Amino acid sequence: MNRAGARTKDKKAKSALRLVIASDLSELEKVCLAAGELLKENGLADKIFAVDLLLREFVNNAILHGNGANRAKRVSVAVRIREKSIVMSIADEGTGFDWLARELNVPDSSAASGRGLAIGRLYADRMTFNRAGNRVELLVAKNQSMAKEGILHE
Amino acid sequence: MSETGGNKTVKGKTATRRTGNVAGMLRESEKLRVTLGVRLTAAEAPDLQAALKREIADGAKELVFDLKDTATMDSTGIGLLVAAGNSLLAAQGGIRLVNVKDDIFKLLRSMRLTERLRASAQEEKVSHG
Repeated sequence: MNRAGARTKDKKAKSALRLVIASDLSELEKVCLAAGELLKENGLADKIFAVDLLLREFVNNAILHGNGANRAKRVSVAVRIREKSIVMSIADEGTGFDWLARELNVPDSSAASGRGLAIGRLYADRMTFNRAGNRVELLVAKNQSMAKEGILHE
Repeated sequence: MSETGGNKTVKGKTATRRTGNVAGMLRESEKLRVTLGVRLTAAEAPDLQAALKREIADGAKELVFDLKDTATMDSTGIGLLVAAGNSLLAAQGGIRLVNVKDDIFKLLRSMRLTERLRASAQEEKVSHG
């Protein structure tokens, strides 16, 4: 309560966002904008580039490859701020893909495509697909040194 | 670019588009300077690719991409730059990226592309004469 005796309410930053979008690339910007705002509200502006990049890669994949750019199909995106990490999950309505068979290494410098999964491997501290391959969870550690030491118990 | 008595002859093909992908294109003979916008991603790539194809078909061989305004790039945008570089190399030309912001430079370095794309974080002084 303040001096006048009136109740005041501390404004708590949101810790999560959830969006369901149509499978259209034009929808991607609102996802990235919302995620950027969430990170700023939580004092994580230094993580915006990595989170934005990961969202673009995997939401793009969900739209174009998972849902075949079919506007009638949806992509679900969630971003959660945890104590030690930022967790993103992206799910599409497609049948998935054989992620186990895919190369995660950086392709040859002359390759004009195929860098999405490598970006996931390099920019996320953990990348987990469900069995079908139509849902992915990406974790970015708040503290890089903790990520490297594998200290991510939450 | 031809020089006559200290003056540059500019082909004069300047197109300025206020979109998210290209802020300006300046053509001087075989050289094309493209100033990119805030983003080079899957959404912007198709338009830029079409414009670059026209310029390369029209004889542009040396491409300089100015990334001073570019804060966001994804694998599709990277792929576009690599493909442009591949086309130009095949024609004995080349590609260069200048004024690359730190985060973008690190991304390109992680993809082992800073050398191929001749990426530089430094300011490039454009000489007029």
